[in-house]
Amino acid sequence: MARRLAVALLLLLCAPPAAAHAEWQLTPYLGSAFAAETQLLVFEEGLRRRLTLGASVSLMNDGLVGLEVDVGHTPRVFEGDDPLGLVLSSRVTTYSGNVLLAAPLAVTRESLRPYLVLGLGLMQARSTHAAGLLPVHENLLAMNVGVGATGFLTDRTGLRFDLRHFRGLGAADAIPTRSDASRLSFWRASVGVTLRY
Amino acid sequence: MRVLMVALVVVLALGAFGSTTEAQDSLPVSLFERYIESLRRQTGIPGLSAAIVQDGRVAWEKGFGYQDVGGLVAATPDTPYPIGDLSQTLSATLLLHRCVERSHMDISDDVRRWDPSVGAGGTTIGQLLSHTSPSGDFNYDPARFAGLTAVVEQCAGGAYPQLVADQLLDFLGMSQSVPGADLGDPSSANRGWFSSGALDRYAAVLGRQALPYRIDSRGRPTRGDAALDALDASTGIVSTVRDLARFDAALDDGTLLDAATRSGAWTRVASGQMGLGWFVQDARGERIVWHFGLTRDAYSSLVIKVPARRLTLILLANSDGLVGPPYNLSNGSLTSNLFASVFLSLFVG
Repeated sequence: MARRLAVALLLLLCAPPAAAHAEWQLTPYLGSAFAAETQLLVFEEGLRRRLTLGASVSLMNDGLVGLEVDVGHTPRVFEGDDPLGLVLSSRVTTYSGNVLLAAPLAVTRESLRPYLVLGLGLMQARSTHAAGLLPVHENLLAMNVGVGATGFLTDRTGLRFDLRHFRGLGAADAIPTRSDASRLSFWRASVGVTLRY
Repeated sequence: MRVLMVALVVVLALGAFGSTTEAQDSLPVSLFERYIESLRRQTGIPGLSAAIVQDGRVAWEKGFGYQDVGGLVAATPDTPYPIGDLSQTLSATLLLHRCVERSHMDISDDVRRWDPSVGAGGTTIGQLLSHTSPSGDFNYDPARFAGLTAVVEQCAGGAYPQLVADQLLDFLGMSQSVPGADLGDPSSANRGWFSSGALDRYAAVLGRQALPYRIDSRGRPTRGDAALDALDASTGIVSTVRDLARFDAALDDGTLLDAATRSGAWTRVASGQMGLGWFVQDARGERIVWHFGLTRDAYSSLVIKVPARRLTLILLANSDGLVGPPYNLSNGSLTSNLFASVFLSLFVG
């Protein structure tokens, strides 16, 4: 019984959306990265709330499961406010492939459609410092998990509200300075404009 | 008259600090200072004292953070710290100066010649100094190095703490250093070697020493325990970066060792990682000699010398963050250490 259930769940997750009701959604977004923690070297009082921007493309249907590709970019993530700070430039960029578990349209109809998102991908952390010392150049396997909701204002255009937690999973080369923190983790809250085709 | 007095004070002050300022101008100390402070914060070290010695003079010195976090007492270049295994560099110098240059010891002597209480023969003075076995294998073993305590006492004819005090600390004017933290303990047998005046001075230094801290997994300090270690050849000296700068200058200018002896001390023995009392390593195209001290959850210390540039970095800290985990400096490689990496990048290239 359990095996059948597992197979059924797998098929559900892997199956493409029903062609008749499938739609592509493109969502450029702006938001904020916050509550960051890291074992990487951070030479300023960085890891503060930072502007983040990106875009996601998702394939949704009327039912439960959708797929999404997401790219997020957070510049200046390791930089503080000191104009004479040691960090010359820094960024964190995430590339992820995600599964969306959305409330079926039959339930939400024209109102906000909530969803859960879970995915894996690549997290790039880069930081360059004065005199070129101890640069951070990390490529980490990363997971993300979150929630959100999409609501359409017109047939083609809507808004997406999204909250996700990103966490680097892989071991990295830099020497850890804190043993309790992950290599790099942060939350991302964003609002996007969703265009559907 | 008052104006003249003020002018005189200003002139004298400028004269006193002129050499340091001049040296600072030629070194990237400002950038180094910012990196060190940032690394100190990230590694959770509560207090750190640092000095750079160039051409026998203190080119830069500074205290970072607190020697006493609760009392908000700032760390300074004059803050005393137990230096742990860094004591080995002074011990090796004492042995080479007092026993090899001024007596008839040879580093190839069997240890039993000078300390018959040693069980097995076949180990030489040089092998103890360089942490190598009779077969030439390197194995950093402070307890084994401490076997040199009796050797120095035998060849120099005195109690080890007294020899260190007379031949090094007093001779070099290292007035803020103590030959063994146990001298602050009224029941210590070693107190009998010193005058009451010396003991009062040691008590004053020990009363000012940085408090030890252990750092939790979130980088927060809590008070550690300060052991009252007696001095032996491997560990036990309490000192400041200023006093260690005096030792460093005397080492470089030939006051303590002849050039040939010093060169031998800074040359690797056999296939090991050390010379005589010093780690020896090639880094960034130059030979560097260095040593460290580590008291887990309490103190750490690091000295890096670049002989070709007559340049030395001295760091003392009141947690183990300078050289403790994740580093393993006892394997003979310094280059993974972040503090060393910043120093070598900025000052060696």
